[in-house]
Amino acid sequence: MSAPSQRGIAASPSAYRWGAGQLVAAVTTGAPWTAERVTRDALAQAAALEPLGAYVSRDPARSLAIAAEVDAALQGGGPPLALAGVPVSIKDNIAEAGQPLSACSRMLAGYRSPFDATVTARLRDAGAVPVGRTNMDEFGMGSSTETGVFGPASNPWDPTRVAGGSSGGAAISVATGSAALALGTDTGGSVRLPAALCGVVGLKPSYGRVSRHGVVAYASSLEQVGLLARSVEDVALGLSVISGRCAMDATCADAPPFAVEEIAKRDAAPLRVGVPRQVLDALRGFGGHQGLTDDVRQRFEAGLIALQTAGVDLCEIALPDLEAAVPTYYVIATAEASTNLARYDGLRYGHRAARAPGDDLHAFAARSRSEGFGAEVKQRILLGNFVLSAGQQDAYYMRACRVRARLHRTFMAALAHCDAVALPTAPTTAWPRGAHLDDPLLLYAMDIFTVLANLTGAPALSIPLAQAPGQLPAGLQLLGAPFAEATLCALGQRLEAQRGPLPSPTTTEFGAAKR
Amino acid sequence: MSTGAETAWQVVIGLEVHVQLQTRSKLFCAAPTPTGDPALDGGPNAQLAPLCLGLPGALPRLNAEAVRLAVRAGLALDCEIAEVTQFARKCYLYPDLPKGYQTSQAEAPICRGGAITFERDGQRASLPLERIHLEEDAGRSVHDADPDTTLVDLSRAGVPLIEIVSYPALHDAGDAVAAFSALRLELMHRGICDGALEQGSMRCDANVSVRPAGTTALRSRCEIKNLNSMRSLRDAITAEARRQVEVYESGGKVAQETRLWDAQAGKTRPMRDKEHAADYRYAPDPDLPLVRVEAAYVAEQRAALAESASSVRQRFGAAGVDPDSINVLLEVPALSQALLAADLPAPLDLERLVGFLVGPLLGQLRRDERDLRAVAGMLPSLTPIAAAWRRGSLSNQLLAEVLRRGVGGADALSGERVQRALAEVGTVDKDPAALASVVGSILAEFPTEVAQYRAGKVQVLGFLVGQAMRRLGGRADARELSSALRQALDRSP
Repeated sequence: MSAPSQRGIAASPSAYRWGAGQLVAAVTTGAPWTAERVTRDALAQAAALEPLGAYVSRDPARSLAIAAEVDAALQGGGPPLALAGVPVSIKDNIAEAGQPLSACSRMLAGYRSPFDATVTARLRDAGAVPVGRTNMDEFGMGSSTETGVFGPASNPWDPTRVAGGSSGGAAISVATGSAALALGTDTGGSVRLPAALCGVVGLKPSYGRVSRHGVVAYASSLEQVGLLARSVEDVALGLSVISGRCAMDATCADAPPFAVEEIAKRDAAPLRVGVPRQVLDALRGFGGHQGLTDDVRQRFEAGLIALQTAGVDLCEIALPDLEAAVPTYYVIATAEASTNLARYDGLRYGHRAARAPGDDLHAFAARSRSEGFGAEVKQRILLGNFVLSAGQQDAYYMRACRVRARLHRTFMAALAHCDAVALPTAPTTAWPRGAHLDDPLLLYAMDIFTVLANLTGAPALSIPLAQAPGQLPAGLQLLGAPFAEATLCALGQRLEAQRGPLPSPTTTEFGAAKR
Repeated sequence: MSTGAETAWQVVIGLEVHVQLQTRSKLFCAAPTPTGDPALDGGPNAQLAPLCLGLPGALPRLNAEAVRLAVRAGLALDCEIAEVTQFARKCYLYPDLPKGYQTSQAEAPICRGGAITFERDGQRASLPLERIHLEEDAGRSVHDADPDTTLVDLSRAGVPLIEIVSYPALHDAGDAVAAFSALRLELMHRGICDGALEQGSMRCDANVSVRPAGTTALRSRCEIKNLNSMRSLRDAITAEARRQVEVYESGGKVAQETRLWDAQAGKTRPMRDKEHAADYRYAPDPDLPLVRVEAAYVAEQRAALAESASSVRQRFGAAGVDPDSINVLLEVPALSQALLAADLPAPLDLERLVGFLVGPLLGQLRRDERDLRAVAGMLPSLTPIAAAWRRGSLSNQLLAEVLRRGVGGADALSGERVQRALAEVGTVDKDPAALASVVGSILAEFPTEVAQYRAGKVQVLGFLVGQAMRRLGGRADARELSSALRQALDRSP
């Protein structure tokens, strides 16, 4: 094992930019590659790139011990493992037994989960090696990975810019090679947005495709565990491991795990992608937002042409009411968040305020919560309590539920004309850190293209678009019918093939990124 | 009574009853439901899963057995069962509510309508129901164990309950007691709840208001919480109605509020806690999908429903069993069912059997001056005897012997003692060859009686059965023996 260089890249030979499939093949074959050696490279990469703020906790000794177990299992002639030796990063809101689980909130600082999430247990069973827990916006509430208690994360392409959020740490981990696969969560775009801003692939599976057991809840009817990787092939492989029925989550569909063989079957059929060009213009001006930037728009159009060149039919579709998606999303998400976060009262675990004389229960819990939650989380809890309150519920929450049902109908109607809908993932590339923190509406508007998939339960895949020197990453997003991940992956792989390999983030500047 | 004219007041009462369903695990997780016995439950906070602690990432999954029992409760009370039912979150802050919300039902309860039927002065009366919904119990807060700390036991958190909500349709505290009592027996006999009031298996809240007799508009009501015995239910309603009348008659207004019954002071007092004033912000629980209750499933539950308490009472009554014994037997549904299921040849035999079983105990308890209801705790020990009787394993003679050894005398009744008596006495011999051989020898031994029988004096059969039974040491089923003898006698000589 060689020591990591100053520049952050482990000395050659290193597997840190290999895909998951390549790693599995190498580790399963054995010497010179072992899970332990791959893990050492990944850990070295993570340590060297610490200033980017991708990880909030790491336990290298544990990772190496797990890797040694994987090697022993393979040498002992055990069954083949789908993710043998693949370094994975876990977002800090997904439970691993015995490990910290804070959702990057002071409220849960020091808390360790006594049980595994279904997804982390399945990754481990498949031979994956967790390398660390990744940074996020507090409780997943944000689009920039700047609001967590452990500090902000930086974009590996330009550390003065945001990585996107809320799964920013996850996106950095795969963009910089400390993980080949990352688990994130996507409530309103939290996997796809950072994937687009950091230049990696991000998949939000269909609602019910993946178990939420062991995931710190933010908005239960909207969120799914998602995957980030450097290729469509790898997110598909990851999905095949973590998906499938789970007795611990009543909203998890009674369906078999995703099968990667489905992708080739979909690819054999003619495929058509619908483009709602109207909405690309209609959204200009939302919440004071400049709308889709010319840069992203041009690259999105180039991506569509690449799809066409790859034999995909394009057609115009209408997505009426999309402008209602963001307000609808924020009413439902905050309503659910206000009840999901009600359990954090400082009484049983988590942050607990010092007891003051004369405190009654309400005063004590209020102080614990005031101290434990950050500003964005408090804002969303207050909004959620407001939209659910007796006088307002009909005007806000019930109405949002009706609009959600209408958005579902119009989205399914659009899918009658095509196999998938293409949208930009984000309206802009990565913005400067701290730029929009005092303007929540502007930050909320970053979700304009992503929340539809969460409101409808549709799967959505963000694929990096071609990136010229000097450009920042941007993503094209494909949305499909529920449980049509295979179609999205087939399209995504065609786009990847047309686009060709992407550049890697230049690592020389990493040392300059001060947290 | 500041005014000279005396107003007649009518009390208006509605009941809300929380019923603990008899399931092995909790409503939304696999943690076992506590028995209420600290020794068995392993002390406080011993029966927990991540969900009952409200740990991050823990999700609910619905216990199918709880749904089954809620549907059966609805069928027993003649409710309409919802085709689709939904869970909702009811939000409030309390130390014994670990998730910060109680998972309950709001817009779409599992049952609507129905009624509790009860007897009033020998007449059937009924209390119409608004709804029955499923919900989880909270934990237990202990405020008085320590002067400045509240202790919390979360073992009970998540235990499945149904809440049965009646319309305000009663006008007498005695009727409220009769309705609650009838509901309790009904739920016990249908296998829904164990009815153990002292352990909190059923908790009754009473909504009480008063109005001038002859008027129909409802006035402000007060909800009296946690009335866990028939006496406290009756006394609390009576006292609260009197208080409200006094408020009105002294020119005041009754505030709509939640009150507690103070049995020692003999009056209700307002609840200190502000919890009831909260906005619960009910919203559908996104972690729990809609539950579809198929018609075929409802039909299946209807078919599987055990006999109602009122029907059990009626059948014992028709058999001539005295009302005291019936009241005692109704406390033990398993014993009642075992007795009634026994294929008894004549009504008198049931009465006699009950007399055998219950009589000595009642007598002993009277002698010991113990509460007659204490017999209920002993009766489950008798279930094996009734079951053996039902199987036909005991003849009258063997039964008398089992009762002498297992129940009679001054020794304490216990399950072991009854089992030992059953084992010692043994059962009837079902071997047909042995029976045939005894029948043959009886026919040879009593030619005179045989001739009389064949000449038409059939009552001689009883004598012959008795002789044969004696020969068999009581180890035969009387009906089998009698039919075997009759067949042999009817055969031409």
